[in-house]
Amino acid sequence: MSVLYVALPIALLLGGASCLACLGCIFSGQYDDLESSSIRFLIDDEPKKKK
Amino acid sequence: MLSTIRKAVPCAHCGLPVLSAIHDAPVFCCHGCQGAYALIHQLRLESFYDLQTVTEHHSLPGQTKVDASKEAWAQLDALSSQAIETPDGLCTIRLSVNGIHCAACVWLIEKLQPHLHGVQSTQVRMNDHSIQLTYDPKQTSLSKIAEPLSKLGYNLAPMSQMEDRDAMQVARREHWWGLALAFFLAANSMWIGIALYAGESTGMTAAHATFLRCVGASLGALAAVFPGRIFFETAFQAIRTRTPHVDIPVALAIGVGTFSSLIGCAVGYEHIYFDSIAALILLLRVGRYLQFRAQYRTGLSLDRLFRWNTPFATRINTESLIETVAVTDLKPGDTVLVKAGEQLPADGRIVQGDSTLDCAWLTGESQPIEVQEGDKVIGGTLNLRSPLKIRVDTVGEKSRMGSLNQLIRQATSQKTPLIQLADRVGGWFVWVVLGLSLCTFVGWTITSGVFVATRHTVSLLTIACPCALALAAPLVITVAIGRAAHRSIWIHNGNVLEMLSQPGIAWFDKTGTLTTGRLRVVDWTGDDEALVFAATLELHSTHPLAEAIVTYASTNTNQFQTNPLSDDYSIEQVVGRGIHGQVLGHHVAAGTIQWMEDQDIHVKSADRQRYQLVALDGNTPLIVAIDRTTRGVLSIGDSLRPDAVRLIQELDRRGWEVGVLSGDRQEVVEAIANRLGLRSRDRTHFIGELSPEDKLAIVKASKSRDSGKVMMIGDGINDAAALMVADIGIAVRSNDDLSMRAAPVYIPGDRLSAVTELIDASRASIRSIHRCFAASLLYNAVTISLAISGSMHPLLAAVLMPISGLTVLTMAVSSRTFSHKPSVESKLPSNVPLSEVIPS
Repeated sequence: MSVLYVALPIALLLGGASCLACLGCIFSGQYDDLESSSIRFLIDDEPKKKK
Repeated sequence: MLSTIRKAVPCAHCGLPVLSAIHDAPVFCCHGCQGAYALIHQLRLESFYDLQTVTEHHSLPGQTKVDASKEAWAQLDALSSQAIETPDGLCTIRLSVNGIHCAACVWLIEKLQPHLHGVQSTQVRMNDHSIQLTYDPKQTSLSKIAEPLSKLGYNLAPMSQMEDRDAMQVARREHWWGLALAFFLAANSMWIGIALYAGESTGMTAAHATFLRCVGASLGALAAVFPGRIFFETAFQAIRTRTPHVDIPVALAIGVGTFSSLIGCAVGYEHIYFDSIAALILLLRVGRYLQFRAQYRTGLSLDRLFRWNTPFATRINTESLIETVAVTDLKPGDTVLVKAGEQLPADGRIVQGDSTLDCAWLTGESQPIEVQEGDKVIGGTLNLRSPLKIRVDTVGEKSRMGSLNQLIRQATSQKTPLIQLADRVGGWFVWVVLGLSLCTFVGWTITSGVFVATRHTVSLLTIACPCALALAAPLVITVAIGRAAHRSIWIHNGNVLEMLSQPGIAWFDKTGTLTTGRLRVVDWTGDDEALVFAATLELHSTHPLAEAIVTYASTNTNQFQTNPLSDDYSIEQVVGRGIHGQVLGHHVAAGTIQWMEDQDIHVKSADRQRYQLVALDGNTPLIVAIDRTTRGVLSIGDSLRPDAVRLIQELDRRGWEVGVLSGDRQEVVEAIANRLGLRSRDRTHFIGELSPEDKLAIVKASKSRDSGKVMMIGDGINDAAALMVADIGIAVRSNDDLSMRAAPVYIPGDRLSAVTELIDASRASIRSIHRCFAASLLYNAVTISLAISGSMHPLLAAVLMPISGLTVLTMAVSSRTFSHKPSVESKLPSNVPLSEVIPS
């Protein structure tokens, strides 16, 4: 079970990295407006013009 | 012959009904719509209209009240100094956009970007109606960007100075990162906790156990230091101000728990509490966030309320040249020109011209008023008919609009912050828990020493932590707000739900709230022929009464639709009196009785009686004469909303007192009260001729009178101050007006019945909160006694902790607020913008 000494820190590091990424997203303002993105997906892309 | 038949067709841009003779080409209700339609087609963005049908939204931009010229937008260029320069030479600036309603608006604005020369990106933010513009200052200017947007009906304006806007944004981010971090730490320390408990029963080496404990304890300590810090801060503040607060035992539990866990970890003691502490912090932060969110939304919508007035004015300067200036630059003594369809920029006196003003926002009066040279006019009212020249008297804060804005701000700042229901119960709970833990500590120290005593005390503090108590109220209220939103009842302030559970007095605004706010012919005593004559005459009038008559005639007589009358007419309109002219060789007149007499028209005695009766009834009478003999009386009034009577009955049944506050004449108010079946009630409850300030004063007065809660239900800016100051302010509106969403509760559409739904839901919520409290207290009573007796095994504590949270969560979510199915007529109206249908 000594793998625990390696596996646990690695697991925590991985989790911590994603947690940091999430904090990065928050501070970059991605969560500031949750309203327009929820309706923006309804907007279709323009059909590509065939020539 | 009049070669055309006028029928109501929808405007090609905004869909409003327009009387028109054209059927095979697009028809527009105004120049604004026509311009917007042309521009959209020119830019090949027609799919805007498809999206618009998808979202089934009825009111669209284009009916812009501000038709500012190029020079006006030059004002915006002054703002470019505020723009932030990016390293690659571009500028970014955030501006407020007025006129955004739905997905189609966002689409249109963002799709416009390729057509705007020199604009890198346009990013619309829905929640505060702002746009982030990135542009090349060398190629374009803000004024050039603003011009096409304004043609589409979206007006750019500087962001309003919401004092704590930035602070709120920062606080919001802080809540988010606190949640993220708390969740990460709680989840990880919990599975380490599970490993430890599992190891205890299956056996694991001491070295492994110590390792897991150390990692877990450090995670718990991190949780206490970072996301848990706010609890120490508030607890510290509470101690300084000497008020009991739930955060005191919370902070104590977190502090003592973390400390003893760390010590226990260091000395190799078996039972430590890091997982409970991390989970506790997470649950509490969720509750805090829910509360904050409610406040944040109120702040945002309030901010929007102050953006509604026109930002620019047309000034005539000393050399009689026309220039466009910002409203803030107007000074008393300036002369401004207000075109038809524009808002008056300031208070003043008319120096030239006569027109009709829509004062509904200010007075709530259902009918536009006639004004002429020399009359005093108020800024913010809408000029309906012809251009006016106005000498400005007062501007800014001293003007009516400015002072009303200030009143509203004051009214909201006086409002107590979101009361934490738990605080009240929590007050005594805090002292009981603190007292008990002190007893436990002292008792166990005497009998078994400090170490055991600490263990039992921590176990008591952790287990007795009122986390369920702190979580229950915000959760139940959030659930109720979410369910209300599905029924298109928009609650901005969770307090409302608490307030509505007890009956009190309900004040109603009249125009637009109890009535539809639209003029309609209620009754006509004459024959069809005379009506058709009158309607033909009125077709050529711009007077607001005329439209009601034409609509009535076209729906009630066949002749008017199929057999249009001759066009050899000559017509004269006399402001404030009536209209007369030749139609098909007959002299036709429609107007007041005095005017008829002045013109020596014979008034039949039956018509005279009828005229007086209609006036007494609170409606506007209009006498119709053909060839100098009266033929009947038209009664024009505002009709009652279909469900108004029912609402009053329902409120009555629930023990609410009902009153009507209106800017309209006293007779009209009493007539309405009669029609609502409130004849027998106290006359002091039906008050007319009130200014917004009077309404505010009455609402305030009834608040200080100790007779339950005060509910105000209104629909206009003229009610806004009263809506804010009342315990429960409900804005109802059939046309979609963003400004009114600032009220604590906003109900779009013609659905007064939502008020009763809301009251029932509020009762259900309060019952549900009480049930959660009871469950939480019962749980605490049991666990506290176990902890005091020292028989609380840490494993049991670890299991019970999340169970208490889960119980509350389940109870809150399964609460029966709005549980009954909406009745057929109360289903989501189709005209609700998509942004509202999707709860955020």
